[in-house]
Parts: sequence; structure tokens; C-alpha cells
Amino acid sequence: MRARLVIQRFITSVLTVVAVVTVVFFISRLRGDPTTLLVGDNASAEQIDQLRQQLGYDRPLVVQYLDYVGNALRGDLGTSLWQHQPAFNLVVDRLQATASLGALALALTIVIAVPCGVLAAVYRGTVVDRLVMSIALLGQTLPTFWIGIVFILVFAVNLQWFPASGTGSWKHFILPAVTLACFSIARIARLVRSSMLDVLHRDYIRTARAKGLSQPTVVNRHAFRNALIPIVTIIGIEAGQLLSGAIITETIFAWPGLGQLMIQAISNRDFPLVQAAAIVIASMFVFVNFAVDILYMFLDPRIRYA
Amino acid sequence: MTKNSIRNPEVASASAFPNCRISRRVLLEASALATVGASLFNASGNPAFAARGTGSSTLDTFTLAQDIDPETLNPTKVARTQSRNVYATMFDALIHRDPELVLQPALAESWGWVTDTSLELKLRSGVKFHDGSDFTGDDVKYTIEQAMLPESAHAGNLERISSIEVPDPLSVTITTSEADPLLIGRITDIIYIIPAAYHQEVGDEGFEQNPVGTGPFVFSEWVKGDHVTVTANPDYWDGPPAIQTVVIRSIPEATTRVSTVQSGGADLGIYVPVALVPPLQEDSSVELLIGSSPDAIYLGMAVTNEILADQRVRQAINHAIDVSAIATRLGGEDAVVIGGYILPGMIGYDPALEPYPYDPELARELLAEAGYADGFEVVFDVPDGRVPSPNDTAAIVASYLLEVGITANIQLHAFDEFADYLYQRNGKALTGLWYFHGKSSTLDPDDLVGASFHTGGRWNWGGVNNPDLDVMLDQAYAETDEEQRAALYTEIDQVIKEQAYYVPLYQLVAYYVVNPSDEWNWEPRPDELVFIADDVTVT
Repeated sequence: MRARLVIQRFITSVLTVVAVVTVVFFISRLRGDPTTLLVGDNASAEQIDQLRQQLGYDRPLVVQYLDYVGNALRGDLGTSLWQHQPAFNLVVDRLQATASLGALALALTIVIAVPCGVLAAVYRGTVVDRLVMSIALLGQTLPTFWIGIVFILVFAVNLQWFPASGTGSWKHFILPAVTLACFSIARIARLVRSSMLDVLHRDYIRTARAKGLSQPTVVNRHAFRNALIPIVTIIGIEAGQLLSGAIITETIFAWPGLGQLMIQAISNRDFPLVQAAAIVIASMFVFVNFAVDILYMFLDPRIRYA
Repeated sequence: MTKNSIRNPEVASASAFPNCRISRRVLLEASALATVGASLFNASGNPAFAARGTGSSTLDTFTLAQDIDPETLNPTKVARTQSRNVYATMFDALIHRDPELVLQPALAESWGWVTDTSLELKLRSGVKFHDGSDFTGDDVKYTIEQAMLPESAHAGNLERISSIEVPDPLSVTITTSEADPLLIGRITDIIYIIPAAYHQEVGDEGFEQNPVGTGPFVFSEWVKGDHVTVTANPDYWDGPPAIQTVVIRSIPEATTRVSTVQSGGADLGIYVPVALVPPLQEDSSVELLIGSSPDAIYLGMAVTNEILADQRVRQAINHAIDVSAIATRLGGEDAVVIGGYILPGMIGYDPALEPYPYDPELARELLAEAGYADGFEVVFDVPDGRVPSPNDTAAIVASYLLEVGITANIQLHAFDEFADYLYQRNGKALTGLWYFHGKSSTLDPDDLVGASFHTGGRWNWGGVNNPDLDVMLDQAYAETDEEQRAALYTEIDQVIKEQAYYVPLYQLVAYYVVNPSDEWNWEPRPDELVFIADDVTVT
């Protein structure tokens, strides 16, 4: 029973990745091909045509697409037009930087948002609740780039506690990870709170209290465990987003990750690289969701026997 | 800190303006009057670079922050300024321009045209690549051939080369299919020499992993998207550099790049946007340097357009636009107003050539004379991106034109689509006004003027067809005597202004932010390049 669900989910995931690749392929060609951007200012029309033929951009779109898919299945995602190297390698190079930043941001999110959300729910209506919710509102409404720049000005330029940009040491991680996490922390805290509130009002919680169980036991063993299901789902989606490339944060902090690579590839009309990055990002996102779905199956007893 | 302080070199010193936060300025006019040597025969056996740190003083690390990463570490493929800054550390070109833009021997000790189409170069002996192999003419031939491959950004510049011979290991003869006097400028500081045997052995991929050149620094590591690190080459032919390690970082976001310099993460940051200049002037922990830029913004006019074909209309448009206001508003208070097409720093530049005076009344009169008393409508093509403030420039220009009755319909195009309009591809063409960002990588006026106004010139998008001007341009192009050549170009600039083929809006200014230090000095160059080994002097 469960096995069938797993296989079903897996097939859907693969189809999603294929759909992403197809859409990216055709949309990026809507505005023409990159040949003119690749040559110097002094190139003649003949040279441009020659290059276009050489790179295969003069063929019908569908032919280009099928050719691409055929190569992709063999692991060849093309050569970057901008950096003259295998696109797949370039993407994988940047993967670690993005994933490590995303992982730290995710850890911060879980460690900060979940307890805050629980506390806000349990002490609903009090100062704690209002404080958490106000900060959460700020975290969701302040633009990431603004937060990032302010952090740089305060902590890097004025206080000189952390470096303003780049990678190299653990200190380089802090500002970008916190900037990236702000939005997630805010969102997850609010969702945890509402999920907890939803559970705290259930009959079985009233029963538990009536049984004389202490507040911590009620909250931790009964309420939280049940609230966990939607929380895990949401964190799973958040994880997918964090791990797949925080474009704004990476650009602000000059973090050499996938998000930055994607932006530069797009502005350089580097089709192979844009596609390769899209495939990898989509795959990561889909895989994380897939893992969350599987986890969900174990967490929610109702699904077990579906 | 008025604009006058730039025009009068004598008063632009720091002591004249004790409250001036900008404590160091490049004297734009002074450097402008330096000649761009296009000498026929430059014979000199001695290297003539700017002083490197001599004696015992060395600098541990120097960090440069630019906005983008090099696309590749193979210099035969690309030509962007930021990439060239990196290549200059690990490679050498045949000829190098010093900070006064005078050609100096680098890997070529001497060079000259023996016939109209045959360029001979004598190479420096005893130079070794980082892997120990000897530098010979074969490497020059191989490098140029690589740079002529269709996917290389240099291919267009080297189009007229028909063959390269290596009569002996230290000589190279380049033959062109037709006279190409600008070839020297086109290989200077752009064609960086790579080792033939090594590249053939390891291929493009291997070369990326470990590039080898003859340069003052040896490749150490490249963390893509983050930085390139190079270390001093103790066996460099011009003496070991005074800096031990150089790190070139790429930080795309301008505020972050500036913050990185402010927080000590970099020594020199380039491409500081105009908007950040006022707060930096207030910040006493960093120094703001100003240099001229070989870039300028122009408003092009298509003479193929019936209405614009009338000289009076074009002159009216010139009078209708207040270029000083535009220059200050868009280029910052240090932007240079230009009256002609030729920029300061190029031969033929005439500082006395003023722009058309701002006179909307006169503009209306001229239009009426030409038969357009009620004004007219015209298309205004503008590229969207990759150029300085296109939207603002277009909007401001259009509003000035509206004042005199001309309705300019702004059409924004993505950059590559705009290229189609420029080069008349895919059925598109320029039919009215357009925004033009002129960049000259060789700093020779023919690159700008000849290309833009000669009939059939590769940048002649306006369809200018003036036989008298063609004669003057041909003459100037072939003229070998420098002074004569300068005089001819000055004359040409005046004719172009009279014909009002375009409106010069302003010349860009390059801002740099520096973490001041007692240990080193650096002055901006007019071509915006940063040659760390040559121009960062260690004190």
C-alpha cells in the first residue's frame, strides 16, 4: 500500500522535473538566441551567422529540444556559452555553497521559529504572543535586500564583527544565513502558532487537561505532536526554497551560489547554463518535497492505512 | 568642488580645497592631452613600465573588488574589462599602454609596418612561461589564431589578418588582407599570450583548471563567483612584483562592493555608481578617486529619416537639449560635458569644441525654417539594460524635445534586440533617434569617428553618407605623422559637429573607492583598466 504511494509520488516528481525543463527551454528562447551577445562589438553579420550555425541555433526549436533531451538523458547538459565549460559541472560547483547556506538558514528557522510559534500559541493573547507576532510581521514585510544591506552596514562596516561579502570562514556564513532566514522564521513562526492553536482547541486536549495532565505534558506530548504534521509539511516546502537558491541574498552578499549563477546566466542569455541550473534546482525542490511526503506518511497514522 | 576644478588643472589640488573630501583627483584634462602614440616604429630594448616597488618594500596582499567574475581564464576568448584586469596579472600582451596611454614594449620589444599590410614584431628574449617553457613566436602565432576563432570575442577585431609567419623564434610577421593601421591598437593589452604547447596538451578544460602565462603573477586558485588568487612570479622578466599575493574578488551588488572596501575586505573597489558618491564623500575612512572613462553617451540621429536628413532639424535638436543639465543629473557633478565626438584622451580631442548652446527658441526657429513649425513625431530606440541609465536619459531627452514640439516615441528594447536594430538584422532598423553608448577599447578616434560616420562604417547606423567627410576620414586614417593626424581629426570633429549628425550628451566618469594605506598608491587610468603589477606602487 505504502509502496504504491511511494512509486506514485516518485513518478509525479520526475514528471514535474521534465515539465520544468520543457517550460524553461521554450520560454528562454522566446526572446531570441544569444549569438549576438557572444561576439565582440566588431563582429560582422557573416561572423554572427557562422557562429549561430556552429552552435546550432538556426535549427527548428523542436529539433533543438529533442536534441537537448537526448543529451540530457546521457548526462550531458550542454556547454556554457558564457564560461565555455560543461554546464552541469558549473552548476554542481555552486551547489555546495547554496546548500550549505540554505541548510544553516533552515536550522536557524527550525530552532527559532518553532519554539517561538509554540510559545505564542500557548500564551496566546499575552505580551509574548504579541511580541512574537509583531516581529514575525516585520520579518515577512521587510524586503530581504533591505535587511541584507542594513546588516552589512551595521555589522560589517560599522561594528566590523563580520565580513561584508564572500566566503571563506564561518564568519562569512552568519550575515547571509540570518538574512535568508528572516523571512522563513517569520513565516514558520506564524504557521506554527496557528497550527498549535488549531490543535489546542481540540477535544482530546480538553480531555488530557481534564485527566489532570500537567501543562508541559499536554503541550509537548499531545498538542505538539499532532501539530507537527502540517508544520513538517510547511518546513519541507520552506527547505526546498531555501536549498534551491536564494537569489537576492546571494547577490547582496556576493555568495557564490546557484542563485547568483542563475541570474548571471540569464542576463548572458546562456541557455545551456540556465537550463542546467533550472533542472538541478527543480530536482532539488522536487526531491525535498518527495522526502517530506514520505516523512508525512510515517508521521500521520491516518495515511498509513489509506 | 565645482566642475571648473576639473577644467582647470592648476586649481584641482587638495590644498586649494581644504574642505574637499575628495583628496585626490585625476586631472582629466592633463591626461587628456597626452598623446595616444600610434608611432610607426617604436624601438626600445628597455621595459618602460611605471615603477614597481623597488628595493626592499613589499606588500603582502592586495585585494581588488570588481563586479563580475571572469567568464574564463583563457584570455583568447573574451575581452571584458573586468576579465582583462585578471588576465593582466597572469599574462602579458605584446604591447602595453602605460598610464599616459603611450604604447610600451611588453613581450614585443619593437614593432612596425614594413609595408601597408605587413606588420613585423621583434620579440623579447629570455622570457619563460610559468611552467618553465620558453616564450617564442610560435606562441604568438598560436594565440592569435585562437583569438581569431569564431566564438572568440576578439574575432571581429582580427578579421583582416590573413596570415602569421614566424621566420625565427623571436620574430613574428602578421600579414593583413588590406591596410589596417589600427591593428596595433587592437592587440595592445587585449591579446594576452598563452603557451601553445601547454594549451594543446591540456586543452581548454585543463587550461581553465590551471592557466599558464608569462605574467607577473602565477595562478593560485579560482573560486568561481567569489575570487581569483594569484601569487608573485619570482622569475618574471621585468623583475618580481612587489606584491606577494593578489586577490580579485567579484561582488555584483554595488553597495556591498563599497561596503566591503569600507569594512576592510578589499583595498580597491571599482565601478562605484554615481548614486553612492555623496555618502562616500562623507565617509572619512575611505578615499574616493575619480578617473575619466573612455565611454560616452550620445543621441544618434538617422539621416535616412526624411525629417532628420535636414541639417537644420538636427541642429535644432542639438539646441533643444541642455547637455550640461543632463551631464550633471545623470553622470554626477563630475561628469564631463563634451562638445564633439572625440573624447579627452584621444588624439584630435579639442577642449575648445563646445556643445551647441541650449536655446529652445532658436531650435523652434530652425524647425520652422525647415518646415516643421508644428513639430513632428519620431521614433526613439533605447536599449534596456547593460548601458548607463537608459530610461532616465531617454525620458529627459524626450521631455526637452517635447518643449520644442518634437514628440519622441521611446521604444525600449532588450539589449540583444537593440543590437538587431543597430545592425539591421531580422528586419529591424533604426529610423529615428537612438541612445548610443560609445565605448572605444583602442582609444583611437577612428574606432569611434571613422566607424560611425564613414559611409559603410560598421557603426554608421545613422546612414551618414557624406563624400567630403569620407575623404577627410580616409586621409586621417592613413596619415602617419601624429601631429598632422591629430589636426585632421580635430577638423573632422568640427565638420561632424557642424553637420550635427548626433548630440553628445556626456562623457562618463569612473569612480573608485579605496581603503587608504601608507603602504601603497594607485591612480586611476583613463581606460578604466587596473594593472595591479604595474600601477599599484608599493611605498
